[in-house]
Amino acid sequence: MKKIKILGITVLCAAVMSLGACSSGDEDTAPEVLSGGETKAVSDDGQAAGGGSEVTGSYHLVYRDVELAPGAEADPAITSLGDDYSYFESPSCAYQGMDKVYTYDSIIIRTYTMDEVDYINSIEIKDDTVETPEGIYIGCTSDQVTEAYGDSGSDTLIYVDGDIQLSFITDGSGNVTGISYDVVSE
Amino acid sequence: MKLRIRHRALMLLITLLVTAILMWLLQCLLVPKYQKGIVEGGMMAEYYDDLDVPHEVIFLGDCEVYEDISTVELYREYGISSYIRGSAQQLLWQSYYILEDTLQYETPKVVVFNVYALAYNEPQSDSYNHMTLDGMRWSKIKWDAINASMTEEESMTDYLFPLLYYHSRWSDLGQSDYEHMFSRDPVTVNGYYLRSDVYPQGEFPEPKMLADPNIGKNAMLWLGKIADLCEENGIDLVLVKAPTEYPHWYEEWDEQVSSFAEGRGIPYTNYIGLQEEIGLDMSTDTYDGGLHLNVYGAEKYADTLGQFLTENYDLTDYRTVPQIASLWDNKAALYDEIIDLQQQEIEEYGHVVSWGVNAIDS
Repeated sequence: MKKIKILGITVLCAAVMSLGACSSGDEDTAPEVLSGGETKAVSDDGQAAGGGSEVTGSYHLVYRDVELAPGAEADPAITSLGDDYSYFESPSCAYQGMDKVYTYDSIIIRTYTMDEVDYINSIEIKDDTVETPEGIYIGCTSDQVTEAYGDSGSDTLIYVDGDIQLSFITDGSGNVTGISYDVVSE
Repeated sequence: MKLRIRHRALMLLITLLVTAILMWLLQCLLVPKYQKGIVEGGMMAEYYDDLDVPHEVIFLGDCEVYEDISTVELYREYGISSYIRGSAQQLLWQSYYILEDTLQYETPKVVVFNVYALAYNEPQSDSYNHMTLDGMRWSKIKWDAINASMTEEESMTDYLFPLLYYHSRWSDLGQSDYEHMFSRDPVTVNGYYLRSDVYPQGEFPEPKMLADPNIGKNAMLWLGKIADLCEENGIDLVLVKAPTEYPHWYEEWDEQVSSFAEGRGIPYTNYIGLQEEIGLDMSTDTYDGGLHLNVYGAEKYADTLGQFLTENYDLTDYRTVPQIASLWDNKAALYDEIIDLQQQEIEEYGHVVSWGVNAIDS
């Protein structure tokens, strides 16, 4: 009888220890799909978004006196910017999070969801009425970009600071046609 | 003394055995069953239950195959016996290994690969990985697929012992977790996830700017490997881009795929611009605002694909093979039954309640 008890206790301990060992691990590995699906969001260009408030980097944009940065919580920024935007949302494949797009007159903000909080995934400048804090706007030349941001170290005008990537898209003549702030993909 | 040691060894063995059984039972309970709501994780395993039917056409890819192509329509209209080995956000290297896995069981005549996954150059997310990989049968191929797919935060032990990954589900268990501990109901018809509700396409936002218009080298490398694998096995590869417009498929990507396809002598069709030829009406042929087709749209797209496939490849008309035809008739009956059930729910509630992310696991 005593041995049966010992056996029972051993089995129970093993089971509890096994689960305990799991529980002490990284809770983030749990399949969030099962509780409504809010794992890493993926933007519509297929790039994975980063990790919310853990995002580092100093690149940011000021629009309508509101400071915007990839990785920052989206709701305060969206509220401050006012409600004159068009809104689009779409669930990711198999409902793994919701991609939201806020289109303003001159910028587009895309967000991703993590732990039920929306974070800014990217900010794109649409026209020449908005410039970066370093003074670059659509229509500038690539020389002006390198003067303001330095040599990018490659053929493209892509600058990375921490987890934030600032990209200047140019046409064949080297003129800036698009500016985008993104959370660096994994 | 000897007897005591033997006795202790026996007790230890029994303890280990009982622990293993308990752990296994716990794992059976805690792993998601994918029977309602998010069903995508259940798709991969279903293939192995359909091996009594030969599949001359295998589709590979993400939701743009398993939601957009009606396998039953391909059979009914053309006699094509096909299977969609699709999964949520199936990445290139996963498609490669899924094809390799398929080849362990059968060699299709044609593999149709949907190219949207080329948007992804690296492993993306653990939950998508598990939805695709957990359902694969264990083999060296699955091992390699996991190794190629894992994000930095993942580990092989999560796949070897799913209990470690799913342990925190204990508080989310629903009725189907108990009902389907040891068996699953099919969630697709030969890999096709059927929806018959209608939610018209609206306006999509401007596509995101592409800082780098090039498709990732890693993604292209694996596309080449898929082409090689098909070639080595005498399989004709066909590349398609589904006719849905969102997420955006960039012209720059399209040109690169066209160039690859031309270089390898592989047919590639981007069906986005062919919606009219297909006969798609995105005010009625989609169930989620244009992201995916509903069954009416999936039948039209299947008709177009079926015509292309029968015109260009020597495929068997399985409607004339009684043994296979009777199996397909059963599949078609299930397909019609699902449509009827969904239509009844739409009539009663205004929308489907047993399918989709909001389906309640009673």
